[in-house]
Amino acid sequence: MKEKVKRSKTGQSLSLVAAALLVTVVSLTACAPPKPAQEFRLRTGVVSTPGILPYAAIMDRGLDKKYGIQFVETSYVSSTTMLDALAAGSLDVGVGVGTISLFSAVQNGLIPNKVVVGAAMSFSDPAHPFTAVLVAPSINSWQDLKGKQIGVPALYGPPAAGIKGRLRLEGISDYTLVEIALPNLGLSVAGGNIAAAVLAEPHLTQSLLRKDGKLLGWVIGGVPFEKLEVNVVTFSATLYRENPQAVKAFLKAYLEAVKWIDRNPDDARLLIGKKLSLPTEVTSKMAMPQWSLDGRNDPASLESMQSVLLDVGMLKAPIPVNQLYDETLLEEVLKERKK
Amino acid sequence: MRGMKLSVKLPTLIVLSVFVSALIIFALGTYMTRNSLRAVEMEASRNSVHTYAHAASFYLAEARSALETTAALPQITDLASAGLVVPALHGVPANAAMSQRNVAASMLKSSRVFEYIMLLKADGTIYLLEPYELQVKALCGNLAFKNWYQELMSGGKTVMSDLQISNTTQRPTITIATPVRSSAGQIIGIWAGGLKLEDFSQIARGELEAGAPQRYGYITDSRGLIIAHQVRPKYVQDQTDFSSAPPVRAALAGQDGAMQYICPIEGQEELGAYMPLPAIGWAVVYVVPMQIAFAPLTRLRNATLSITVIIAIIATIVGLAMVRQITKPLGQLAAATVKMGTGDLSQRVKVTTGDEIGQLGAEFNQMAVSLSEKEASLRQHAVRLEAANKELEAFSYSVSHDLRAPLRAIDGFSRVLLEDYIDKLDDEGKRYLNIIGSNTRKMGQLIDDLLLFSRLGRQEIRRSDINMEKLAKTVFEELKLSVPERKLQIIINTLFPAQGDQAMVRQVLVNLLSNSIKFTRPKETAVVEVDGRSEGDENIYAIKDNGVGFDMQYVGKLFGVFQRLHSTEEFEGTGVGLAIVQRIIHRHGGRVWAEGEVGKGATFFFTLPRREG
Repeated sequence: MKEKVKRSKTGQSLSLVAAALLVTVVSLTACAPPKPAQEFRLRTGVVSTPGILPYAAIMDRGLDKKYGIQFVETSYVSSTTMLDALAAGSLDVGVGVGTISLFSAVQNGLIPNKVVVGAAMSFSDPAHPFTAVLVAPSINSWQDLKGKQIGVPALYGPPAAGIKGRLRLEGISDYTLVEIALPNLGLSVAGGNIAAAVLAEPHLTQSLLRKDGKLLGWVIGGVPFEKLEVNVVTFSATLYRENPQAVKAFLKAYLEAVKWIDRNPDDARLLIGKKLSLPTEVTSKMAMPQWSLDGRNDPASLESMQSVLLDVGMLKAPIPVNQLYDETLLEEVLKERKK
Repeated sequence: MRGMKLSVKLPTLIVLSVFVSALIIFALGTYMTRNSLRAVEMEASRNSVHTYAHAASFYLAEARSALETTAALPQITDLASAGLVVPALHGVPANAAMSQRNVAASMLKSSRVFEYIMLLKADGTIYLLEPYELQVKALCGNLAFKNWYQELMSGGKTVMSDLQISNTTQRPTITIATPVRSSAGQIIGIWAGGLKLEDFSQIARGELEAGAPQRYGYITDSRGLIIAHQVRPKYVQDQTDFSSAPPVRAALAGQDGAMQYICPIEGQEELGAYMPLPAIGWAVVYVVPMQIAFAPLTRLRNATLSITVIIAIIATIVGLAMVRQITKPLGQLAAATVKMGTGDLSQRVKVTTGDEIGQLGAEFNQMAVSLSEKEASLRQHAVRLEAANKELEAFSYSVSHDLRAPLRAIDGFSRVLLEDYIDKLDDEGKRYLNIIGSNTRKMGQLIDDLLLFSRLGRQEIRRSDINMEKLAKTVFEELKLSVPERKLQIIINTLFPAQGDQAMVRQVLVNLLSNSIKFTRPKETAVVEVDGRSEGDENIYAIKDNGVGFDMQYVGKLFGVFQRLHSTEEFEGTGVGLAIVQRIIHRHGGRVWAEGEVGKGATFFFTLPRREG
């Protein structure tokens, strides 16, 4: 009898421990965020510019897990190479593709057949200038650039278009654009290799803080691109058409990340500083673009950009700007979000 | 803890003490190990930074030496006599100046530290640049604007530039330039090379180490821009600015040491040793991320935590077993004590150990034996007392009962005498017969009271709910009828209902209220107040009057049989009434007492158990 009582007591204790463990496990399971219904593996291309901030925020805020996305990241030196990779099918998503390269992509038949622009990322205006001309101490005006070598990161990119447009407006045609890697532009000016360089953030602030040269004027966020859609999110056409759920998952995460950036500008600066290995001083002083909270493209901005590109000869014939992007899935995501 | 059971308290204390001890040991151990590790890592980093700086100096000295040696070769110094061709922007053709180009090519091949070699005229014009494909890419043909050129021309010695972007490769480089002198010592040209910074980043890396090293070094120029980084060559390509990193700042200020800091670029806590590169003014830093430096501590911490948890679990199990050993006999002892409290003196506990708890059990058993013996003895006494009491009661009942017969005869015959022989008796005889009759009735009353008193001791109590307020009113109204001439005022306050034998409680009220009416006779208006209150599990009732009262020194005699504080002439009665009251109340488990003062009335209190619910 005693034995029985003893056994039942031990059994009772074990039952209690088991119940406690069960409650703990159930509670922890209940507290864990719900798993998304589907998982998407996206091969993502990035260019090391502040344009990757929303992408960095997606991962930093755990939005990739929330929307069931698994990223496989590849770095690219320019938007053009990233568009080529998207067109070749070796990439699913291109983050921070510069808008100017979109026009040539249309001319080359990549858009919309092989690449789809799914959402706008950021804009630049006089309140949010983005790219400027850094000059050697001897240069004091646009006119002083006559006959000089000017460094640009790419001969067909936004900085090149910006300086060309500006110098055209200033009536200067006698100059040479030299293609130099973006990080090397500042020291090239400082070392006297070139008279000026067109620099986007954060390299501009870094060069100014390092006293590589002085700021002559803004060309994106200033004349000629006073209002410019800086970059966009692109998708491979195959993914966009065959796996719209994956595209929508990315767009949802992206819009949520942009919302976070808008609400937490200081944290966003820290994040981009960490992502681009920037000194704190640069991170705190660099200019930031204006993020597109709804991801919608701005046809007016693209139209005015196109006219500058046509003026400077970077675009051969006008393109209807609404051919540049496809907001079908973005609209669906926005509607779902409203619900 | 106060209300906690011993079976919970003891294991909690054991587990807590194990945990607290483990935590203290853990904290102390962590603190001491951390300090030791920091000291060891700092010392190791200082050695490493010196080794790394030495390797960098050696690398640069070798490059410099190669340039200086070749600059003195006749193929190079013959420049003046040969007379340099004035080159176009992109330099002389590939097949021109073959001898100098051969020297440059063989130097590029043998030294492997330079990306390109160039020969400049004394005015800074590029005469030739090897490899030729880079020469044609040069942005400008004259480098007289370069800082290093101006420094060389003013100092006349070999110079080394800070990080700069090459005029030809458009990539970051360090230029080392040495003057080419004529036999007269005049500078007739400049022999310069651009260092391969990718290779410079790899110096002093362990040959056998695969992948990125966990501990690494980096070098910055005098502005804090990265020119060599063992782990992240991209920092060199991006000319990442490390001037805000504390060890770089210290090294650029000429200091040599080690520190713990948060790197503003990496965003991590690091241990870094630093020193300036002698004669050049660059900063050399050797870094150990704290995560790596304290990895043994992390392992130790994890191991300690695991061991602590295991110890705590073992301590809990052992503690529980021990506690069970202690609390089980204590529990048995407590249960036996409770049962003993209810009167079961047969309880004994099992004594299995010889320790204090065993001793306590043995003492308990001994106490139980003594109590059982005492109880048996008391029981015998009680039985004897009860028997004696019964005998006494039977005797008093018999006596009272037997006395009634002769008493009735006396009373009867005295009445016959008065009725039948009234004419034959003179007044004195009549008076005597009346006295006999009166005393006979008194004695009858006395016997009745005694019989009642005796019966109360044996009568069964039939408990029921009693409305005390109603009962008091009824009894008073009945008593009032017997004294119509008296002015009686009664105040009956709210009385809580009681539980008891209705007839007996009624008798209590009759006795007490009739006493109040009797002893207020001298007063013109008698005032009797009945009050009640509830305290604990009993109701207290009080009957107060404004009668003659009594002296409190005799209060102890009030409830005795035949005890009277007044003469029968003053106030009639047998002296049994209050004894009856006391017997009834005691049989109900209540108490009775009185308070009074001569001439100021008396108050009689009694208690009855409260009605349940």
